[in-house]
Amino acid sequence: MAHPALAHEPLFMMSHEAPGKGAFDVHAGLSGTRGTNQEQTALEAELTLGLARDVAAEILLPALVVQQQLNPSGRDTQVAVEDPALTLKWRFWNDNQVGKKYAAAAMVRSTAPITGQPPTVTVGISQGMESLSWYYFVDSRARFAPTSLQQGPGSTLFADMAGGWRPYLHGLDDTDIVVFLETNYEHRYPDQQGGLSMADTGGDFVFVAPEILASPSNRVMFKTGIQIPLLQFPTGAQEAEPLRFVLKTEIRF
Amino acid sequence: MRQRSAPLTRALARVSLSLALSLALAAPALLPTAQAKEIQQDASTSQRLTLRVDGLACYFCAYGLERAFRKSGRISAFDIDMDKGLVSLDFAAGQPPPSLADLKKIVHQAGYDARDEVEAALRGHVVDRTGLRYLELVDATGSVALAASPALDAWTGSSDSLVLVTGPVTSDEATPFRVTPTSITITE
Repeated sequence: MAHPALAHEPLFMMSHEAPGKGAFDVHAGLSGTRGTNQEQTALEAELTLGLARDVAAEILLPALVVQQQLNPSGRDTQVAVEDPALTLKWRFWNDNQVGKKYAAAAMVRSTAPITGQPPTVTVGISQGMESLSWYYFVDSRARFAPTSLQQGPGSTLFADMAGGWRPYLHGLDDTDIVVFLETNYEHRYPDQQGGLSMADTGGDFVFVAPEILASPSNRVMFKTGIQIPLLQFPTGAQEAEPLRFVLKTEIRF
Repeated sequence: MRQRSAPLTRALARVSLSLALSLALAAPALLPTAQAKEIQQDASTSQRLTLRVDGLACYFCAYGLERAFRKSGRISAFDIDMDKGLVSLDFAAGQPPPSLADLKKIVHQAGYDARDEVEAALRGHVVDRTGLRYLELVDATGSVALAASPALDAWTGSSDSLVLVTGPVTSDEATPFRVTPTSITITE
């Protein structure tokens, strides 16, 4: 599942954007994994609300997830609904300059347990800069596995950085294109089952993610990116990491 | 470290092709919106204020600022010069000019910062009232106080003349909106 991405934010990490008081944005699209024997495709929709100048709420609606297991005899397909999630973000520092802004934000995210799974909480902190030509972002996040988890992935630590470039600044009614390159690091603790850590799970992983963000007007943006496994240091014997992709549209109201 | 599997390479190619096709299908939506065109067509008209705003880095992000101004019901057109960090507003017909405090508050709530550098380009008639000069606005409500300046001192035209007054805007508690003319031009 991709992380909520507002405006010119990288797609696989958190960022410092806050849309301002009264904002209402709708995001919709696809994310998923490919490249292994288990493929996943999620149809997602998100709402972003500007609660105050520096406070935003992001509501991830229940995603429709299609999972396909590739077998020698064919494909086993399962369709499921994923828990919705609520993210609160607070931009606690910003420095606005002509054509440039620096900011830092903290966020907390929790899933809502409508499918019977206990909620998963993620906290993070981010800092970055946006300008007319260049962008950079760094963040650190921790996703905590529920203590009551009977079976599922363990906690994960994330550290990410991204750079962005706008080749040309067009006018108000021209298509604006920005490209990003993200680098994502994940440290995964072992999966849990019945209160015990499972063997052959967890490890350290590094990804690289090229992305394109195109806004044909100042109210619509198309975003796409692919997260490619670069380095993998799994604990024990594990399947290779899949490729992750995101294809989204954001509309501002 | 594990080697990347062959299915991963094939998947990379498939996903890349899918994303490219999706973007191609979305191409019609990449056309400019009617709203953006309308804004630019309106940009040369009427009563205009230009603010210097810090933090503007792209048009998409700045839509929040446009929305906030439009929601206020006080403006008829909005334009941005990203390179210079300038926001131009035409205030709506029948409306008095917004106070500088109101403008700064709207900008702040949208996540940006307005400097104390506001330029006005206002149309109206220069009139005398009890020794002070005002610009009676056309296509807007009310009048604007004019501060003494070489351009105003040199103005000898009639109050019947429709003029364009440009200059910086200042405010204080007694006069929330005052223009110090740097030029006064007869427009008809």
